[in-house]
Amino acid sequence: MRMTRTAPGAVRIPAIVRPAARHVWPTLLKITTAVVVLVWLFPVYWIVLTSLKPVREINSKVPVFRFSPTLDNYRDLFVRFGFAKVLTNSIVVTVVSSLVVMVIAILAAYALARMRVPGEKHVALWILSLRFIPVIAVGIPFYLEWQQLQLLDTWLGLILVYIAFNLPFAIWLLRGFLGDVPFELDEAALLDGLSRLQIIRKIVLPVALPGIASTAIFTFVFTWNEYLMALLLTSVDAVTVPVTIAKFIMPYTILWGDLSAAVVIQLVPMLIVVFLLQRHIVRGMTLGAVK
Amino acid sequence: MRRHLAVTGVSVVGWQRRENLVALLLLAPAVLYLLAMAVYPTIYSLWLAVHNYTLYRPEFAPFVGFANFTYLFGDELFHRSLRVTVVFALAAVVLEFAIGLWVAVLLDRKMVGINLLRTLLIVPVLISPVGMGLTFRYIFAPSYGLLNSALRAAGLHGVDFIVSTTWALPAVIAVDVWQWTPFVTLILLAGMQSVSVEVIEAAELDGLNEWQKLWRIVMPLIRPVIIVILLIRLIDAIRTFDLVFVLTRGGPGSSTEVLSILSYETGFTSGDMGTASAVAWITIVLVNVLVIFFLRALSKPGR
Repeated sequence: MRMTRTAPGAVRIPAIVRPAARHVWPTLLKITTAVVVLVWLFPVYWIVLTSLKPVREINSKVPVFRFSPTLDNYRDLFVRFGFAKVLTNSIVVTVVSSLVVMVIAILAAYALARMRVPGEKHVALWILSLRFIPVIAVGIPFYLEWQQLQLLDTWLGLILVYIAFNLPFAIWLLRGFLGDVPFELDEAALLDGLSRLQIIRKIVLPVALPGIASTAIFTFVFTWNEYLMALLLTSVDAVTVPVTIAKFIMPYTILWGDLSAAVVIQLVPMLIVVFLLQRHIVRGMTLGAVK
Repeated sequence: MRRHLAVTGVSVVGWQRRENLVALLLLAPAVLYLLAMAVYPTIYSLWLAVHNYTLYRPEFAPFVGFANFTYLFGDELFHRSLRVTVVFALAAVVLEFAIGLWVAVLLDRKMVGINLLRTLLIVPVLISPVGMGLTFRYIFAPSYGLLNSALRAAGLHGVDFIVSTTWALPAVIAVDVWQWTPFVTLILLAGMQSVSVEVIEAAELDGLNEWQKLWRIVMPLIRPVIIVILLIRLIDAIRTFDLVFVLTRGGPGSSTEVLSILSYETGFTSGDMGTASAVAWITIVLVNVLVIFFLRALSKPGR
């Protein structure tokens, strides 16, 4: 490729186009862009709308866009279906397992990223490869083991599994984030006589906080949304939100009102967390391929 | 590159030995946990796959060698499931990449509100596959569904998408595309924006048009990102369960029965954990073949 020297911010030489077309094309493209994104979000808008509809409008043959909104579906969800307990299960399982994952993963990632570990690359790749095991492959063994150990349908049973599910990805991501922190910081701290644990706590954690936060979000979202494992390992006491949502599909009827309300409740905490920290999300999604 | 310092007053060898011990201690919790809770279950799964293990008589589980696998290779249902999985994964990922690239190009420009549009695009990624699947089940519904209302309004016949053997698989693929295209878009977009302005300007001075810039300059430069995103999506599409399960549960008949659902039904509906684990292990092998293929592509330098 021939490199032409241009100062950054130099005036771009406009392509030779007819003056009229020059204005029409960009405008058309901008409108297309906005329309595509909005169309893509339409199903989400539709489910939010459905959750606010009275039952009569939900099952109407002609789609209803204007109606007097009601919170009946949400009330029904909590009063008739005990959704508070389900929500508690999901919150406890997600928060506890995410916290444990972060502690174990930060320690491991620090060693992999910032200390001399023999075969470090192989260890890291081995850990990443565990992220790709089909859930059903480990789901059956866990089901049988938990049956033996009486961990089926308990918080602990789910938490133990979700820690294992999230560790590989969290370690891999954090290894990238921690590797970005300048090594001079560690060296100076070592000369000052700080131990490695002190360095992690006092120096690396604060500096790599954005990366740690986005790793935590990934762990959180994954656990919060996970379905298959929760379906296999819970039945009554420890059921999580996704399992409950799917249960509104009954043999002869589907309770769309309660279902849509539950979908919205499930989505809201994720939206809040992610919009607060959106800048750091993308790198996590690519296993660190994009900086 | 990592640097190591020699601390004065302490022998370098002794310091290094202590360092190795510390590194090992830091790694130990993660490695031990993964060995116990990820590697052991996977091996247990392989053990199940070579035994005739049923839920009803777990105490009687004779070793059967590869019998479960040979049974599967002769089983019409398994062949069908394998075909469905491959069609599902390929169709979904190809569409997600094509549409994702198109939207990424659209979003890779300066305009009012562009940041809001980009941010909004993350919403479909955050909904659980269960939530997304059921949202579409409502949209696909025969009498009160939005899509059928639209079809009827356009003077066409309504279709009960998820109970039609013709339409169920395309419908499931469409929902997967709906959920994951924004994910592909966001990542390609991040890749595109990491290409330096100077390179783009040089290409413009050379008289390349938008199309040529994309294919000759940007795409080769973001090749690693493209490979990683294709790999992640393909693996996750092959392992897929949630979305298909809540939409069709593998039906009608077995027209959308991907490998994970076949394994689930074999294990938990028929109680045959041995054969179910054999299906799961075939999925593992399939995934690994893909990973090796893609990692080869990744380590090869670009054209």
